[in-house]
Order: sequence, then structure tokens, then C-alpha cells
Amino acid sequence: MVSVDPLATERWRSVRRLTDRDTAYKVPWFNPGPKNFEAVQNVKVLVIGAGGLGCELLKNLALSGFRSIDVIDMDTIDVSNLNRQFLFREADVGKSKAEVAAAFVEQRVSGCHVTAHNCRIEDKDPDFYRRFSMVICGLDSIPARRWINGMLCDLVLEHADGTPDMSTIIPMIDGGTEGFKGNARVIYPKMSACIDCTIDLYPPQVNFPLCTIAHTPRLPEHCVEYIKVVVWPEQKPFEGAALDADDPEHVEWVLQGALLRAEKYNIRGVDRRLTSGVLKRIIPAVASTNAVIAASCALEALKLATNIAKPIDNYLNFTQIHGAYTSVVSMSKDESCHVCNGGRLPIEVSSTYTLEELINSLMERYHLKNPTLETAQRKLFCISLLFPQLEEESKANLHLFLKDIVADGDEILVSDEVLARAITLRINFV
Amino acid sequence: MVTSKLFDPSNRYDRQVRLWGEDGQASIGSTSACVLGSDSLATETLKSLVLAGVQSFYIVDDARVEQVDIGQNFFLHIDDIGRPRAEATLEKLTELNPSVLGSSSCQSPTALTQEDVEKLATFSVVVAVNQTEEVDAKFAQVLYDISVPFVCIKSFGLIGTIRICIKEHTIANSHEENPRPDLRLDAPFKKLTEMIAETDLNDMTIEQLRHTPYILLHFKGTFYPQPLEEFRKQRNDEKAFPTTTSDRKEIQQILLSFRRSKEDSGTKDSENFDEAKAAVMRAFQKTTIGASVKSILTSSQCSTSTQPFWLICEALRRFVDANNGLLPLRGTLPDMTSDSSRYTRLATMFHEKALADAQEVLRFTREVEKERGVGDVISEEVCYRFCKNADRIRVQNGDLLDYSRETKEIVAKIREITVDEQTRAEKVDSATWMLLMRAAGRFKKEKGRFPGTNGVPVSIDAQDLRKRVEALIKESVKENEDIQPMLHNVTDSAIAEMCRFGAAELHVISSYVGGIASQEIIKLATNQYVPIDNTFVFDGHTQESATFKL
Repeated sequence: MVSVDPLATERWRSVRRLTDRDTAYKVPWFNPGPKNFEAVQNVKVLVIGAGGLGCELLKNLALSGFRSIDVIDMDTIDVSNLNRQFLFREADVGKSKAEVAAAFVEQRVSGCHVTAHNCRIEDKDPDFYRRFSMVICGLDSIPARRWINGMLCDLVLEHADGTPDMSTIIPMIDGGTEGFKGNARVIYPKMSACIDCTIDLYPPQVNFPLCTIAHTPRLPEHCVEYIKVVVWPEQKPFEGAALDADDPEHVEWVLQGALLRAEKYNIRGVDRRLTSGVLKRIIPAVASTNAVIAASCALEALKLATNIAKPIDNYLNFTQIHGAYTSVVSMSKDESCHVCNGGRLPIEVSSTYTLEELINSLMERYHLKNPTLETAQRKLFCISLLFPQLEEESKANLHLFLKDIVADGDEILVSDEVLARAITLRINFV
Repeated sequence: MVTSKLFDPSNRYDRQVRLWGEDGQASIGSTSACVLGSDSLATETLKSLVLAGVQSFYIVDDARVEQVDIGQNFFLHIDDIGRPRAEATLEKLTELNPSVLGSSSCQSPTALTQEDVEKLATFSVVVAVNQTEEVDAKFAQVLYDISVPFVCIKSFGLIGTIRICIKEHTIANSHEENPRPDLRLDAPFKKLTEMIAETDLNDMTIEQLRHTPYILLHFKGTFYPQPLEEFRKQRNDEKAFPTTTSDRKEIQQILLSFRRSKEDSGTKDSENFDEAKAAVMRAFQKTTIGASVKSILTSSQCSTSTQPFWLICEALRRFVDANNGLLPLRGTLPDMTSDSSRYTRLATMFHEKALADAQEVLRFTREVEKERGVGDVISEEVCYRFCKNADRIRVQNGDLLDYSRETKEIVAKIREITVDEQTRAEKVDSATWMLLMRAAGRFKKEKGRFPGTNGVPVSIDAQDLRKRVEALIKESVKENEDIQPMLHNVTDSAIAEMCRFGAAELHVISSYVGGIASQEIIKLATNQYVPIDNTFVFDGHTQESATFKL
């Protein structure tokens, strides 16, 4: 009897070698068979971002058998994307990334349906996100990551006994790259370490102190920042338009100013590349790192959909500066994380704790920018152009002791632009 | 041919030029890649090379597009079924970047003659993708002797491997992370010494003191003599210089004693003192030449080769001899709290000294060029850039690819694996995967197909695969040596897993390995960043990787 390969002419032969056959390296609930691949073909997945990671993710998912893919991205295509965002061509510059990416993959991979959403992630409501079995993020912003992380955590319902309803948990796979480094992680909302549990992984953004920029510039970057934050607002060029770092004329204007300032202070190194880098906070990027991290993410997505192998637990680091190196660490869930813990955070304070101390500690802990604090009765601290009348009172309140503002067990709501939704603190005096 | 435009922020290559400079981009733009094979691992590798802007690529493969290719390879469309795969993928790859030239040949790499191979050796790099050991060895032999980098990449189910084969690879800039700044505290040059002498911390306002760059604080004192002078006084040794961590802690203590706490808003909290203290550990290091650089400067290549890298190295060596064992000054200063005029004065003097040193190296370079009978091959720009990165030059050396020798090393590693039973059951060591990859290749050679690919139950193919594993181990050890310790570490589960894989060409694995391989090829082309030395193994189960030098 001659043996015949049952998958000889099967388009998805490679994936089916793994889905249809048993393995010693499996998750306990793996049952080999064609149903695993059917699962891949039937689930809906969402890719967030259609840039460096997003293009690679769409390709990888399509060629792993996924055929119901949604992609969301509000950006348009720029020439500087073309060294890695390979679904785009020069003729596509200016068009919607999500739309062009979706159309390309649909055309290239027959049978794969990719739906584009040319909008911000915040423009979609919970019902939209609820539809997906998995969300894979290729974002370039930490606030956006926190937002989707918060959304997926909010979608998790609880049983009467307080345990999460597993059927409402939508795994989130998150990838990030910068130059030759990257990371990929798997998050089970409410069950494992989330973005906010590990917010300290993200280094604070480099901001030059204003006094250095204004009075003691030393570096070419200081010269560029000076033009951006001092001279532009003063001189209001281009008929008072806001500085658009993507407008070459604006960049040129800043460059000329920066060169003059550099000359005055005898500082070398101001050129157009540096200027645009500072203005746009450009992160260097290559195709290869995006390929590696997106492949890592898509591999985890394939594992989750088919159970062909164990998902990583749970955070992968990658670097290719010296040789190539990857390692996986297990990040722990933070039991005091406000996102994972239903939003109510008990906090112990002494009787001499002031509002200012509370705000400083919250800003450091949660990487806040400009928090607003309020109780059910009043706004304790709010510095906002929308409520200028509150500024004076807010500043005065800073010196107050918390014990004089709230009672034991009271709640303070903390909101901030970086938070997906407000933190509710429950104050306990000790 | 990629034209190097004057920087234009809308330039397609902007984001990557920030990593390897215009010189790196120019190197990529003159790179021609020959790729043997056109499966998804090959096209995923080529994808990143084309996007990066190589000059050209050439695909050699006689395969025809089949149904299964459509489910794996992004650079094929369902309409391509039946066409030569090299041609069909070529079209979609060149579309990625209009300045890259692509061509193909519908030959089988296996059928190439020695003469054909020698012709292909005119490429800047040759990449063998999922080829047989015979093909790998044939190319390796030719390319090794003429110093053309040869990269062998393979994937099989969830496993991927990369082997970089090159006799000698020189690196002009390793881009080492966190290198020590070149401050010369132990050997200040003339202008620096002058500025130090002028600086009198006693004769400053609080404001000036707070804005004194820490490099000067390291030298000077206020009511007490300079920290370094004080250190020397305490040791009763004029030439003393901190050599241990506790020495440097002493310097930190001396420094902190300089803060003025008498005045109201003194310098107790000033950042420059904090920076000075934090910087002591790294700044107060003797300026020495690292071991890798030293061995480069004393190697025989340095005294004989006419390769540009070695010509400048010889010039560098002569500079070091003529300058008290010091490399040319790097010339960049770390940022530090300071008033503008003193920082820029320091920055300028460091820059000018670096330039002067580089000019001296250039003079030596011209000398060496003349002695060795080559024209002026090194430009000023190349020389200055080399000098700036003199502390991060590296050289890698590799042996000729030899599967039998390398398997001996792999088998030795397998013998040494000592893990508990649970770990052995749950994870497969990278060395074991390497042996299994070879065993699968043997299986294919001897049975005409890979294990797990024709409907034969995995358990039966596993027995046959185990026979190949045993044969490879036996070939790698002395006669009568006990092979049980090795066999123990190549578990039945691992062997069965290889059969389960059935040579699956998973797109995500092709993309991962292709991504890594493409960047390694770029490292080889640009002589920047340190390549894998020389074998990389990736396991998709755990997403862990290992590197071996074989």
C-alpha cells in the first residue's frame, strides 16, 4: 500500500501539519484535528495600526489562515513609511493607511477579508470591540495602548461570585519596536499583567527643561526646541498657523531659526535631519525589526486560535544590536492596578498627607500629565483651559490636608488625558 | 543604483539612515544579493533587503508555484500557480522598491556546476535558503576563500536556523550600547588642562558654581584642592589615579565635600554636583585601549593587508605608538548641566582635538598606502569617521562551514545538557533542534521526502528519524563511545515533533527568521553593528533563541 499525503494539495498544508497532529508540547486542552484550523478561519481578529507592525501583522495573519480581519488606523501614508510599510507605494502617499492596507491584502491573499476603519480607536464603542476574539496591537503610542487595554478590561464581565466570565475575555497581543529593539506580549484582560500593571516599563519621555532651552542651551536639540516653544508662538509665522511638523516649509522655518541660535551660542550639529527628528520625535525604524516582532505577535495569535503550542508567558524582549537575542519573562499582575481591579483603588494615607502630596504620588505612579481630582461634591484640583475659574482655588487646595477635605472611606475620582478612564480612590486614614 | 540625496525629510530611507548613516545606506545601495531558493523564507528575507534599498538581487530556483505556496508565500498570487516560482516572486518583490533591480534564473541550485557557482561568487552576499547540505557545502567552499559572506537559513515547522559563514568580517562601528565617554581625566590634553587651570571654584558666584560642567568639578575643589589632587595627596603619590570602585567612592566623597552649604540657596541640590557624583564611576577610569581593539592593532593583518580596514588600523597603530598608547580622541561630550559658554567651549575643544588626532591618523594612512603600493583609497571622511569610532572597531573570524565538524560540537553540547526531567519533557534544547534539523535532512536525502509528509503515521517516521539521529551521533563520537547520554537528551517527543512538523513552511516562522537574516545581511554589508557569530537557532514554541559559535 502506498501512503498518500492527505494534505498534498491543500493550500493551508503547513498550518494543518500542526493543527491536525498531536504533540507532546501542547496546551492541555489541545485536540488535534481539522477543527483547529476551522477555528482560525472563523474567528474575527482586530489589528490596531496599519503601519510598520500593522502591515506585517495583516500579512502574517492572512497567511496563517485568518480570513476575517479588521484593521483600524487614522493615519495617512507618508513617503518615510515606504522603507517598511510594504503594502504602500509612492502613488499611495496621502491615502488612508487602513484602507490601502486592507485592499492590498484582500487582493493578494484570495479569500481573506480585511475591513478597514479609517478612524481613531476612541471613535469605536464597546460593541465594536466585543465582536473580536483577539486584538493585536501595532501602536506607536502609550496612551493608545492604555486606552485599548482599558477598553478590553472593561468588557470583561464578572460572575456573581466575582470571578471573571472567561467568555468575555478578549486576549490582547501587543507589539512595539524602536530601531533594532522590540517587544511582544500577551495579555489576558483582568487575568494577567496588563499595560497599566507594568506602566513603569515605559521610560518617561525626554523633555528638555525650559530654563535650559531659554537660557543655557548646549545641544543642537535645545536650539530647535527654542524655536518651537518660544519663537514660533511669539512670531506666529504662516499667518498664525500651528506648527505642523509634517509641513516641510514649517520645518525649514524652524531650521533657519535654530541655525541662528546655534551660531549665537557656538553650538554645532543643527541640520535638517536633527530638526525634523526633534519636531516629530522621530523614532528610527527598519523593516526587519517590525518583521520579527509582528511575526512574534502573529505566532502567538495562531497559538491562541489553534492551541498548536503554548503561548508565551508573557513578555518577550528582542534586540539585534549585537548578534540577535530574545528572551521571555513573566510579568506579574499588579494587585493594586486600577485598570485590572474594577477601577476602585483603596489607598492608605496619614493624617498629615496633603492634596499636593497625593497628586505628586499619583502623577509618578501612573505617569499622569495633568490630573483632575474631584469628589462627588466638588472639584478639588483642576487646571484646565475649560475651567479657568478653578485654577486659583485648585492651587490653594494643594496645601490642604486630605483629612480636612474628605472623610475616611470617601472616594476621590482622578482623571487625566493618559488614563482610559478615571481612577476611583477610596481613602483610608491610618 | 540608489542615489544618495541631500537629506530631505520626505526621503524614503530617512528612518533607517538614522540608524546606519548615509555611508551605511550607500553600502546597502551597492550590495547585490544572490538567493538560492524562492520559498517564503527566501522571499521574507528578500522583502526587507529590497525595502532597505539594496542595489540588486538574483533568485535561483527551478520550483513551480503550487497550491501550497499560495498558503505560505506573500509574494505569490493564486493566479501564479504553475509559473516558475522565482519569476513570480521576483515581480512582486521588485514592486516594493522601484530603485532595486531584480532578476532570476529557473535553475535548481542543486544542479549548479562548480563553474556556475564560481560565477555567482561575484555577488556581495549569497544566501542559501532551505537548501541541501551538499549545496551549502559547495557554495561555502568557494565563497570562504574569496571572502564573500554566505548565509544559510533554514526553517522547519516551528524551528528556524541561521548560519553566517565568513572567514573574516571587519566592523568599523559596533554601535556598542552605553560606551564609556572619552573624557581623558587621567590624560587631559593641552586645552583642557588650560581650562582646568583657569577654573577657580572659590572665585565663582553660586549661579556660576551651579552651572559648572561636572567634568571641571572632577578636577577642581573650592576651599579644598581638586578632588584628584586631594586623592593623590592622601595616597602620597603624584601620579595616583583611581583604579578600583572604592577608590572612586573616595573621589565621590571628596567631591561632595565641595558643595557650599554655608550660603542659603547654596549648591546642596544642584544638578551639576549630582551629575558629577553619578559620573565618577565611569569618568574616573584610566583611558585604555580595550582588549578587542588591542588585538586588532597587533594582528598580522594589520602589518600586511591592503584592505582599507587594515590600512587604517595600521595607521591607528602608528598613532597609538606616537601618542602614549592613546587612541585618537573621540571628540564627543556627554550632555551635562552647564552654562552655554563653558559647555560649548569644552565641546569645541574636544571636537578640535579629535579633528587634529584624525588628521594625524590620515597622515599615517597616506604613509601606509604608499608603503603597500595602493593609491589614496581612504578618503578624509572615511578616516575621520573611523577615528571617531576607533574604540568600537571589531573583527570576527569564522571557520569554513563543515557539517561533520559542527555536528561533533553539537553532539558534545547535547551530551552536556543537564536538566531535570520536567524541563526535559517540556522544552527542547537548541542543540537538540540543530541535530534534528540535520537528521531530517538525512531522512530526506535517503528516503526522498521529509518525515511526516506522505501520510505515514508520525510514529513510524519517528522510528526512521531516530535511526538518522543515532547515525549522526555515532559519526560524531569516537568508536565505542557510549551514546546513551546523548540519546537521552534527544527525546522521543522531540523526534515525534519533527515528524509532526512535516517540513511545514509556516509563514510566521519564515517571516521571523527572514527578518533576522535580512538585518544580519545588512550588518555584513554596512560593517556596522555586530553580526551573529555564527549560528542562531529559534524555537517558536517558547520564542526563545540561542547562538552558537560553530
